[in-house]
Amino acid sequence: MSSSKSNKIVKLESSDNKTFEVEEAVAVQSETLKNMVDDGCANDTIPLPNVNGKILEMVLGWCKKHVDETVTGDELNKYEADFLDLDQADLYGLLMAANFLNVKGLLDRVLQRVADMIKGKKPEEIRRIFNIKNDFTPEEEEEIRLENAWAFD
Amino acid sequence: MEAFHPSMTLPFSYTFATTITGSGSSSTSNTANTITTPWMDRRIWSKLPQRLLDRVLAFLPPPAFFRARAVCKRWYALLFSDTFLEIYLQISPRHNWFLFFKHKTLKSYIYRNSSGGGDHGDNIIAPCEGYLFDPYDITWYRLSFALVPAGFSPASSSGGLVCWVSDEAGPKSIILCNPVLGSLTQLPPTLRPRLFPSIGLTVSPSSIDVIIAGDDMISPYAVKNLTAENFHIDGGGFYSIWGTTSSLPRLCSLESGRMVYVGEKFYCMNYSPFSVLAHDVTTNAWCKIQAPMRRFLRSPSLVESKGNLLLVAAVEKSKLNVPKSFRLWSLQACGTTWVEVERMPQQLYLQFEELEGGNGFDCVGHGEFVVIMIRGSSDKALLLDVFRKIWQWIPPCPYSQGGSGDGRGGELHGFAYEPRLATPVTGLLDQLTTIPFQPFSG
Repeated sequence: MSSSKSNKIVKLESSDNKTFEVEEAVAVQSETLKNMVDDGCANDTIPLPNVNGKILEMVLGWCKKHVDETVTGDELNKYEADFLDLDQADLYGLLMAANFLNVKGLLDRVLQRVADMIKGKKPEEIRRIFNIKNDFTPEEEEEIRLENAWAFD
Repeated sequence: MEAFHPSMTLPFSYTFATTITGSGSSSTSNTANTITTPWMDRRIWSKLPQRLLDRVLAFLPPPAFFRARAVCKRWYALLFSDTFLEIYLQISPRHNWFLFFKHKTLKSYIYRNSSGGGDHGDNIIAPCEGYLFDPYDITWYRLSFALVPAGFSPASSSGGLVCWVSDEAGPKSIILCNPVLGSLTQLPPTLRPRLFPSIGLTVSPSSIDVIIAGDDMISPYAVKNLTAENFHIDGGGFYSIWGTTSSLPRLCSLESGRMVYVGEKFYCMNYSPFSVLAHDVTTNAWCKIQAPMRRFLRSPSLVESKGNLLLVAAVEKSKLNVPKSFRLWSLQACGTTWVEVERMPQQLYLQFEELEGGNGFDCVGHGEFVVIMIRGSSDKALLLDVFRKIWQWIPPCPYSQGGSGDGRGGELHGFAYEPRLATPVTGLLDQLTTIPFQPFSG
């Protein structure tokens, strides 16, 4: 039975000059790519100078899995959970790519993963990790801890 | 009876948390939390753009968010930033947590003075604090409710708000509170005098519905379950300030129980004999639903579970030799049939039954979790993850261990509560002070 969707292929090129070809249905999981397709700008190879080949392959793998009708709900849950078993550099790359390409489900998953990584951390450690300057005086910081004491217990 | 051995293999995964002897020390709440604090490489993460980092913060559970406010001034101010809150309201996940209060028995209302004067330790149990429970990390927090006036008790929770109702007999006053912000909004009082009505609350991003049912005071000394009053306000401009009333089904007995909102209906247990009452908010009509195994139920409760209504109860032996068990049934889409979806592992049930000792239990739940609280005890509660089929004892709350002098303070009374950093829907209630009363023809 022929699909009612077009079988158009979308061509993408990563920052390190790797090319990927995917069906339009897979590509439009990315809102960014969907807008390009809708605007008719997706006829030639689309360059993605801020996503490298390794990360782009991961993102496209995610998108493919999510249009595959043979995948069960349980299989998809397991896939999504295993998907984020990555080293920090890849996780960071994935976050930036999912944001740029605007793949909502993937972006939410990665944001949640990063949130889980920092939720147990003390403020000093968070400052160190994200290179944030502490612009509170010691008195102000103490006041904040008292004000929100329930969360610091 | 043999003791339960955690090493026994069971068809269901089962964990047994060790009891923490609560001394109120701050380390107890962190024991479960220290598992996931992986080292993070600043060379990588310091490059994360601020915009994306804000989005990460929107995914933090509220305690972590409030700790993060101590990082820098900008993060401190996010709670008041419209830009951040807009993102937060769009993307933040739902946290299916629980909130517990020290239980005031009904007797304490009758003997207590209306304000200030009561002296038998009553004012000590006035719930000026609540205990927040995170079922994902099995962690307790203590929240202050010092701003809630005396003479009010918690009654229901939805969409990040907790509803408090006035204790005194008469028309009831309702206060909506966002526990993590400490903000309070009062509703106009109900029209009919009531004693201890059943209360239901449902809050969405753009609407608030409250229902108060039963315990109509037909005279200063007589109470009957006759009517229900509804309050509604929404962003579309429709409101009904208790103007929508309905008659309860004849001879119903609500026993000041909770009401649970699922799929545009409020449900509550009806006692002797057991059945479930359903109030359809759109048609303003009540109907009765037969309960499953209704002659054999003990301590039935209703809970919400991912859009379904579950009835949770113990099943007693009958003449037909039905084995004693603890079961959960789900109401099917037709609205009349129930299907059993879960049963407590028999080994655990034997243990549960012994601890419970016939006192009964109450259940609350939402999302994937159900909490079963044994009555008459302050520290025996079970947590069930309905979807992963995991049952575990909840470690006792380290903050509630010191009971008040009269010994009534120990028992905890819980609600399914979803902590939210912002509940802008309460802004709709501000309109009520400026618009003259107009009855809503519903």
